Amino acid sequence: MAKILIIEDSSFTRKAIAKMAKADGHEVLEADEGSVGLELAASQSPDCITLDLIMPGMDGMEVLRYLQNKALNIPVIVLTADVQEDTRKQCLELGAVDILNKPPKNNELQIAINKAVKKEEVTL
Amino acid sequence: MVVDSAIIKRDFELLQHIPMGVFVLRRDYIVVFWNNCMEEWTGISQNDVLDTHIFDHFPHLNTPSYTYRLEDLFEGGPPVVFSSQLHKQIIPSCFRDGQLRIQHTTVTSIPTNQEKELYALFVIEDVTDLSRQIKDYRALRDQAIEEIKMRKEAEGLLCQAQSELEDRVEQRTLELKKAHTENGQLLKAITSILINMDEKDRIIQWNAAAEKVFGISKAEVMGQTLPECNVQWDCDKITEAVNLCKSREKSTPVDDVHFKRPDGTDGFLGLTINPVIGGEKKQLNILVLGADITERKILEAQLGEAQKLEAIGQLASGIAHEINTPTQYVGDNTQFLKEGFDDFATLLEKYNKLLKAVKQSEPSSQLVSEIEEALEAVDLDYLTEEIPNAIQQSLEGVERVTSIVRAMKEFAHPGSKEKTLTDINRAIESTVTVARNEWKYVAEMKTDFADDLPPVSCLPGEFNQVILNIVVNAAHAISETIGNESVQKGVITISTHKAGDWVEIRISDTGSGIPEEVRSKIFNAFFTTKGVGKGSGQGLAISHSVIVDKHDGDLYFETEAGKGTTFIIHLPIATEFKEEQSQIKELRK
Amino acid sequence: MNISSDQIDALKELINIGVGRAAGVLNQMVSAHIKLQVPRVQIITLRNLTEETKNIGTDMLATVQIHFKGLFSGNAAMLMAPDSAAKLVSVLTGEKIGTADLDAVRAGTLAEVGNIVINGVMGVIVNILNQQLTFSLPDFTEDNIEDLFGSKHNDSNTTMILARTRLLIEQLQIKCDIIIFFEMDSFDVLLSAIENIASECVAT
Repeated sequence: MAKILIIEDSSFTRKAIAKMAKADGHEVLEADEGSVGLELAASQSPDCITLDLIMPGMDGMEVLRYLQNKALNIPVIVLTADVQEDTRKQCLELGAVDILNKPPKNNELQIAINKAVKKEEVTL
Repeated sequence: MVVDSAIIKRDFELLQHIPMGVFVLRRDYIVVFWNNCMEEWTGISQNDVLDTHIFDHFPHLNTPSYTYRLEDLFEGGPPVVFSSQLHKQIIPSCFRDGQLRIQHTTVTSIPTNQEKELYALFVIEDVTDLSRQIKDYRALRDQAIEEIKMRKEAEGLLCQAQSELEDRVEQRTLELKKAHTENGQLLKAITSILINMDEKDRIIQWNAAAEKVFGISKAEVMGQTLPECNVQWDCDKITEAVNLCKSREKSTPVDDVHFKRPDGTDGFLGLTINPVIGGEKKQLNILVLGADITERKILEAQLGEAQKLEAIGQLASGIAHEINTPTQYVGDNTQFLKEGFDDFATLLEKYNKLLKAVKQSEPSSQLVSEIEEALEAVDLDYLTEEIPNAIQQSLEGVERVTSIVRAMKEFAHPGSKEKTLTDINRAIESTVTVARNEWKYVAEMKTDFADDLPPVSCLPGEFNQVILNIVVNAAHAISETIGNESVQKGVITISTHKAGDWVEIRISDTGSGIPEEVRSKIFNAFFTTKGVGKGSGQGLAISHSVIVDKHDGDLYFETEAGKGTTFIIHLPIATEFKEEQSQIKELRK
Repeated sequence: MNISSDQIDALKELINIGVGRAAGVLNQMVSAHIKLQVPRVQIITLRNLTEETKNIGTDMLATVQIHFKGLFSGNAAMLMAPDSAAKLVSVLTGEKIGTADLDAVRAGTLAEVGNIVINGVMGVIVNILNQQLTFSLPDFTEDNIEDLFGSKHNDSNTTMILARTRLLIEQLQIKCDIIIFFEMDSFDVLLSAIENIASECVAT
């Protein structure tokens, strides 16, 4: 049972992820924009964030950077259509715990969320 | 899965014969079809390849860049293209000469009789020729581009060279202009008159000095000949000189060209007409250089006058002395005559008394004794003898003064510009007389004049000057020899005689001669052996100039150390006398 | 014909994924990072197409396009301005950028690149929607935007769904536009396919 923040501009995908998370019993917060997502991250203290990279306005990388700077220490799972190797590297550098490509296969995403959350719990 | 080769064969039969490489792969990359062309290209027969993995034969295909793209195809995705540029050899194949084929490959999916089962149909087109042609074309095009580039570069260089050339030309032009300006300035600065004329005698240069002297600007005379231009001068004289210069091709001096100055006064020009050969055709231009010598001439005349006056001044004391001496004893004699006359008057008075007494028969014996006393007192015999002498001496003395005066008059003849017929002997005589004081203490004067000496056309004043100079020099030479002790006087001998068409005058002295080292210099202006204040050194130089330049004569000397010097003057006989002489000769025949 | 915003969204994401894959392949080919944009999906008429696509650039565009048909049909095209095309070819082949003309061999290179990019997109569509389509061979031309799409449809009032996005290779200053339009008469099939996925996605 954890609070998952979903930062994703596509409502379709957002809803799909939300459905998945809720199915696992997690609480879900949704943000359709990077800036909104940061606000929620700061104010709501989610246990995990799923982050899209390609968004209008503030893109995923900027969000990641900001989160890193703010040192909110919330595990971020990047879920993106961008499959490039250098994208992946950059995300890891900016502190993402996992990078998944869209569409997520099977239970990939759920497993990743649970893993991230558990870590949190462990450290707590 | 078993490949139904019969079906395959039937389905793909047509593809066997097309001139492109065709092969079909199953999803698991098993070869299910391999056409004749592929056989030919790869040397791998159908039997060998069918039913085997394509990777066994061509392992390089087993890489994601190929397999990844083919995956979608097997899923029903769109056709895949492998271009010759990026994938030259899908299935490497060589020509007979070993060159690799360049291929263009298109892969499409074909359905099979199994649902959702697709095969990949590879069609390989040999584009070697095409590629080669394109390559050749590109090479040609690149070459053309390169050539154009080179042309442009060359053009650029040419333009650069041209602009450099233009710069240089500009620079040269500037230099030329500068030189021209400098030249012009130089010409302007030349204070001499400079007139340049082309081969047709037209004025092409007329400098600032010319403008100033003649008061005529350059613009007014350019292109005109000398006679045409408005200068008021002795044009004939100049034209004659120009022609002479042209024919001789030598510098021709023209002295004393009379002209009228812009202010109306008279002036004189001293000009030199110079030939200038130049230009491509080596034409003969005439360059007239000169100056307004009026001032100089005035100065010269003044100098001449001054000289003469100086000479006269020099002689003045001598002459004064000369005149003084006879004047002295004329005075003395006249005094003596006065006293004698008084004595005679007294006697005559006494004799008159006696006469009266005798006439009146009065006693006279006292009167007689008075007379006898008086006679004794006056010393009648002495008077009778001396009075005529005194008179004679006085007359001589006056005569002397007269001759000196006359000589002076003749000597100080106003400097005539024209030559006149002169009796040389008389001229010499007067000069000698005038100079008497200079030589009479140190030398005796001997003259030996020819009787038949014809007249000479000369400038008498100047001629006298020459004689004076030489005689004074002779006197000085002798005085140096005898020193201060009044030893025996030296001798100055002046002789004249006729020698052919010449009159020869010889003036000798018994001085110590002219030393060897100065012999070449004595006619030089300002050269003198005399101490400061004693002589200006002008004398002989001027004499030389007078005789040689002005009279076309000759002046030279013979000298012997210890013995003395003789100056020899040659003057041409006046031409009319030459003729007359010959006429006389004729008459005499 | 009504399309909900969700459906538009779904299509957007579909295209996004497809383009993401294409970028991945291109990334490997040019060894330079490819910047992706959020695809734009609109419903427009043919008449508006030219207007909408004007900002792609200059008149003569190097294009590779394929036509697909099946239960739904349409066109997919990759478009590049001549300078981007030249640079891309240069990067891929090592040839110096000399003249602007693209001869057959270079055309071949671009054709392959276009093929890779389009296939990347279409492959996803085919996969995810699980639909069978038939495809034409890729067609390479240099043309202006009006001629590219205009001739295919007689009726300028025909409505279509236009999806477009841009790939940017910043390091090399190469821009490449991707356009996919779906003919409207077949759209409902597309939509139901999308619906299926959505439900599939959350099935677990």
